[in-house]
Amino acid sequence: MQTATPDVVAQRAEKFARWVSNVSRPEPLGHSFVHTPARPLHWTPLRRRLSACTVALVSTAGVHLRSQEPFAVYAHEGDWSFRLIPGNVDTRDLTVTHTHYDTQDAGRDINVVFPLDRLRELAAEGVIGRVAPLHVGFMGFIPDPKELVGETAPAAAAELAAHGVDAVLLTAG
Amino acid sequence: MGLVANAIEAAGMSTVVITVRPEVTQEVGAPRAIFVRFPLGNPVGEPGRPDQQRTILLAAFQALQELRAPGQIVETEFRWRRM
Repeated sequence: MQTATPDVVAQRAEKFARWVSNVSRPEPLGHSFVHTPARPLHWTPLRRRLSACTVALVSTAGVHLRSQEPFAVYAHEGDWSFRLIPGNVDTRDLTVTHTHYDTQDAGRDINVVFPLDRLRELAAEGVIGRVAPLHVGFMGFIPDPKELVGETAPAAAAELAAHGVDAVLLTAG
Repeated sequence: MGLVANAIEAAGMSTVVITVRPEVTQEVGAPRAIFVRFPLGNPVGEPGRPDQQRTILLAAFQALQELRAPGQIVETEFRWRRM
């Protein structure tokens, strides 16, 4: 197993730079695969340059404020509800409830599942326009997705749209 | 995750998913995704590693800007190195 000596790091950086430059080629990419999923996919082209975008986080890792009701992780039908997370929260006030992944690292640093501090830094640097005033947390154990697809995911999307969000980064557990 | 991404994309916002389970993302479908070879529970990296977390985010935002059609999952070079 390689250790991260400076030339290994440089090697990796170079490989990553090649991947980044390959992404925009129109022919099939060595590192991407296209599939035909079960449902038709929607597509919204990025409406403005990233440095002008309002960006929100949406997670199914079970993220919520400590003051909010935890997700019903032991319900056999799962829990398709969501929690709204204001964009100006102190990230120490965030926690996770989930039983289908090891939440220890998320407990140490919420950014590993909900990178809000990192998003703020990118906004301060001008990489993105701004952090959205609202973000959303779901808990991804939902055996039957009927209510999620029919009710709660569209409701969460409507909340984000109403708050001027341009782009959303999504993470699971 | 893909179901939620799809709902958000349908509501007029562009999305990108960071996945550690590309076979699931492939089955469910997501408008845009990047695949990182990290454990479940660590899609954005290790705790206390803002440098690494930032790099993952930049890769996701690169895919957000560069991908041109729905359903692609870009396999990144990132590997989990913790012992």
